[in-house]
Amino acid sequence: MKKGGLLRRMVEYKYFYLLVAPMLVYFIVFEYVPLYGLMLAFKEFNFAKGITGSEWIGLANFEEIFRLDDFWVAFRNTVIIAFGRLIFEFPVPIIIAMLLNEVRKARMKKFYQVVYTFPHFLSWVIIGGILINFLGTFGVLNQLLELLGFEKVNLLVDPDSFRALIFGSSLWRDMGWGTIIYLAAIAGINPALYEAASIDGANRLKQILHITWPGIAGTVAVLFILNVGAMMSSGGGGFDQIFNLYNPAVYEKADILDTYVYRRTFAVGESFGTSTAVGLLKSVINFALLYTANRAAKRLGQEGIF
Amino acid sequence: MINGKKGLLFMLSIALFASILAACSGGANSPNENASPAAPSGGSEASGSASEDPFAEHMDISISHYNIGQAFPDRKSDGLLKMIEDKFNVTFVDRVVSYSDYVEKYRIWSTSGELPDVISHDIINNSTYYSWIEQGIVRALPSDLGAYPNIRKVMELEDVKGFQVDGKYYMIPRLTYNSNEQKALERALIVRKDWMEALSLPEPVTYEDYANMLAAFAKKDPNGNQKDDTIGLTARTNNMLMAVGSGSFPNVANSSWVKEDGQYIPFYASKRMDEYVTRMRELYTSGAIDPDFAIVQTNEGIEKFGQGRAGAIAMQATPSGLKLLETAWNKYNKNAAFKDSIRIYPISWETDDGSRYSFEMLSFWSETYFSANVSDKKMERIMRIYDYLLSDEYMTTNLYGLEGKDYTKEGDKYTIAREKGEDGNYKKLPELYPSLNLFGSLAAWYKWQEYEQSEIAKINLGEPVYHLVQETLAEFVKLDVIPTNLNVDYLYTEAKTKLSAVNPTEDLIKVILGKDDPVEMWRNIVKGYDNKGLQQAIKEVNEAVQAQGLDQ
Amino acid sequence: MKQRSTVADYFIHAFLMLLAVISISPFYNVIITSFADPAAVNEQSFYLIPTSFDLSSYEMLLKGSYIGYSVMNSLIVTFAGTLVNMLVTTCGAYALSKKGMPGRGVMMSGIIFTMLFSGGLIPFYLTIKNLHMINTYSAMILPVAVSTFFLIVMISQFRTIPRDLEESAKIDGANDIYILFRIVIPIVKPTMAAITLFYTVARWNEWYYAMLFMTETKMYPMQLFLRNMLLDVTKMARDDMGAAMVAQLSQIYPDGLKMASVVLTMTPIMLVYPFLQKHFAAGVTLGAVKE
Repeated sequence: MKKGGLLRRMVEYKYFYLLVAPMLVYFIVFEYVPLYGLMLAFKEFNFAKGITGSEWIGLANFEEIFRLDDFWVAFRNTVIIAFGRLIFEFPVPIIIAMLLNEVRKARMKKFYQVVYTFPHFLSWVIIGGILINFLGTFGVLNQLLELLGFEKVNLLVDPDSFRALIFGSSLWRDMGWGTIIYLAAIAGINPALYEAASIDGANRLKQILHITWPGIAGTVAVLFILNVGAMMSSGGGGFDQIFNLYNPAVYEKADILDTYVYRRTFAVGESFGTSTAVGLLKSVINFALLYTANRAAKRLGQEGIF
Repeated sequence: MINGKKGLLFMLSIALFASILAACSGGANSPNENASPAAPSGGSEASGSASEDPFAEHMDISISHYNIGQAFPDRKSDGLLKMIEDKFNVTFVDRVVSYSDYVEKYRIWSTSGELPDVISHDIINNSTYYSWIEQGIVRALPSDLGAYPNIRKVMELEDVKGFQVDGKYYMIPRLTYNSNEQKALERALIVRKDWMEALSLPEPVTYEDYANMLAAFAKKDPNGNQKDDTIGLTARTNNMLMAVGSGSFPNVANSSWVKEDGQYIPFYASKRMDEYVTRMRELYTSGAIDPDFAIVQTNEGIEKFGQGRAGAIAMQATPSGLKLLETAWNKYNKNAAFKDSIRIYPISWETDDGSRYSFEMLSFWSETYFSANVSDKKMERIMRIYDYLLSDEYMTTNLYGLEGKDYTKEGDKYTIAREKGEDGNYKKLPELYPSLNLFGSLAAWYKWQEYEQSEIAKINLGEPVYHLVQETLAEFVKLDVIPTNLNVDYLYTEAKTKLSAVNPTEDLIKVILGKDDPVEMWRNIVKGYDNKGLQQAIKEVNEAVQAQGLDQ
Repeated sequence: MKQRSTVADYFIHAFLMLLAVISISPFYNVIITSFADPAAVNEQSFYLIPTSFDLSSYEMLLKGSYIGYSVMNSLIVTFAGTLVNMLVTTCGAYALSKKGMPGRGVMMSGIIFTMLFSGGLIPFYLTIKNLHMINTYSAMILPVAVSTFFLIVMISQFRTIPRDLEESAKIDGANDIYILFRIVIPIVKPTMAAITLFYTVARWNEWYYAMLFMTETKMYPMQLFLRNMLLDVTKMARDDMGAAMVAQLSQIYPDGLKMASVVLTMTPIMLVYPFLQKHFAAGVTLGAVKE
């Protein structure tokens, strides 16, 4: 009985299988087949023998990096910065999108939309240079401070202000870009709902809370879960930014796993086993976080991603 | 939810299955199986007899070299390329790498068995060097170098001998200098003479001289514009900045190992660091060092000096280095000539015993490696090409171009007949022959040619830089050389390689910027190095020094 | 009924305008520096009023035989790549949004698994090599055919479509594929436009895969070409380099070069904007009933 039901359903969905086929091929060929590389985390890589022929060494790679103080500093920073991004950076594009939605003139709205995305196109190399112009000893900020009679500050080499700098510059660069997806979600809300609400006498704040917000809550939930699931991976686009902005003076607060591994490989030479081990560690933690976020979203009445 | 968990399990088992599949299929994933050096290939007809033309068989030679991407824009019009390819009956196939991606590319190619026949890499003090040799990624040079006298000369240099592995050479070092004297200009302090005069500063000799001069540049408005916009000391790289304090401890400049209390230790573990960090901290707090030094990018210091914002820059006073600085200067200063505005001093002050030091380093940077897939026959051809590139005949070509076309020679006299550009100057040789981007640095950097006292050097460098180099060299050769045991520096032991994770320059930056007592800070940092295997490395190194008789 | 502007409106406008100023202000400097002569820049503490016009940074970037190729490569990869991206992702997302499809759960879990776990560079490179895609356009298009991130966003959007819509179309005799392209996509047009933009920018900015898989400079896309030029020419601190490098190094004005490369990479994207913009703010089509 069951088997008949399954087959019948599969036939019913035959077009869907067609639709999903190219994507499945992609995933199998480019994402699944290469997965065997994960073995390397437990091996000592030998150039001649390749990944499959190299020797198994159990957890030795992990032991080697866990021994190093610097690794734990990087680990701690990765977690702290990732959480910081979630708290400080995640909500901002949402709020801006909702504000933008309140703008009545379509032309102004378009203007803002386009302009906000500009900073996204600057690479971190350039932004690093801009920041130095602003915050360096002879930069704008210090010239202003001098004018007002204060002492000069050197924010870029101060570990205590560096994280704020990371969040701030990240916000500046990507808050506009982040609004795009929320604006698209808002655009999908039926305008009739707004009309009905205002006829019922709801003011704008009420409309935002009861129409706009629920309208994008699903998108917010999905993006939240996805962000959480990428936290350990440089907390979302972190490597480029931190690599271009940091300096030895702020390592203790800013060095993340990716930049740490990068420097180590550069100095000591190739160590594929340990790099893969660190990658595997990050993946496992991401997985746990993703699962948790997904369940939390479901508890709150939203759809998770699986 | 149940679906999800089952799905996960299912996918995990697929992953496992895929990996088992991959393991069984062997071939695609163990690409270096034929990586044994003794694998001869190639035609059997043209084999052997030395009486025949050794270049009878045409060969394709694949090369990866820094910035080879610029070498072959138009192969047909490049006379030099044609000459060399015809001479040896080869075609050079470029596998493009550039300075910004060569490390990644070599990393990938070495794991997939795709290394080109000839590659340029700089891994001599790296675990990768030994892994590649041990695991058969690169092949050894022929043991008999009799047919290649020029190569043999290079391999017999003092600082090359120590790199043999099991009695064989696995690379050809890319020589920068062919005499120790020339190394002296690798570190120098280039100072604004006009600012010194404006502030009536004496020629710097002692620490106090240096400290006062650099601080004065920052604080006493040397350019007289009533603005607080100048800095004292900047540098091309932070490494070179650190060398400014080497008067207190010379070995900091070239990051070498020193012998202290009867055993060799890395410079950063020495007691002499106490004075060094104290003085560097003083230089920073007094304003002598650029307050932004920790965030300045590589080469930015050159721009700053050219823009007239810095009083002194720590960098190389080599011909190329000075040429760079001069060009930066000319960009921003149309009225003042470079040569007249600067003076070149030793990078640091006099030590307590009255010595002043000039630089010491390996005579080469980066090496040529040969893929293990290269047959003995091909290796022979490559060796011939390298031997030619290291010959006097080629060095003349490198400097003057093609005989008859770019120059004529009568006896000892060279007359330059090169094409001239629109500005009336001789066109640069790499413009006429782009393949010089490859050949001009493949077998060696040929930097010693820049030090020759000849007309061609004057033309290439321009008179001002030419004279600056000669004058400064004459002064610097009188200085003492940093006492360095290069054999110990480049010794290979496991713990010593692990120790490369230590980055003293970065930690020095922290100490210089810090607020606590610098000596204490540094001692704590060194204690932290124990965690990275410092003591083990010291032990292993000294044992090896004993065993191999490397003590000096 | 037209609503009057309230105090809240003024605050909102002020805030948004402030954000706009903050977003644009550095670009003024970027553009004028890209056209500037270094000596002129040095004369002012902050280069605010352009006192020079110098095209040498652009010349440096645009001369040479490879720039033409690189622009062409970028255009091809961006067009073809985005097309592949959108086709594969949209079809796949629609299928996966159907809870009733047997095997869906397994597929979703599998896909999310790959989002989290990766086998590393070596196996990936070997896969591409074994498929003979080295030094081909496919190497920049196929291995990035689907972004799991965008896929999941698209799936969640498809889920918001009410079933009645699709069912009534089925009754009228439409098959699932027709429904997808003629009915569903127009409803979620804003999200489609957004993701198209994201993919376009991603393909345009791609350089890493090009660096790994392209063995000839002729095949480099513009981003890689510019990146190499910038890094090679500004990062060399060693003295040991060919004479040609020294000659090159000394001609450039590093800041100008950086700014010019920004202008060059941004301009084409800015031209794409107007086409996609009209879809963002579009309201829902008539007749749709959404909760």
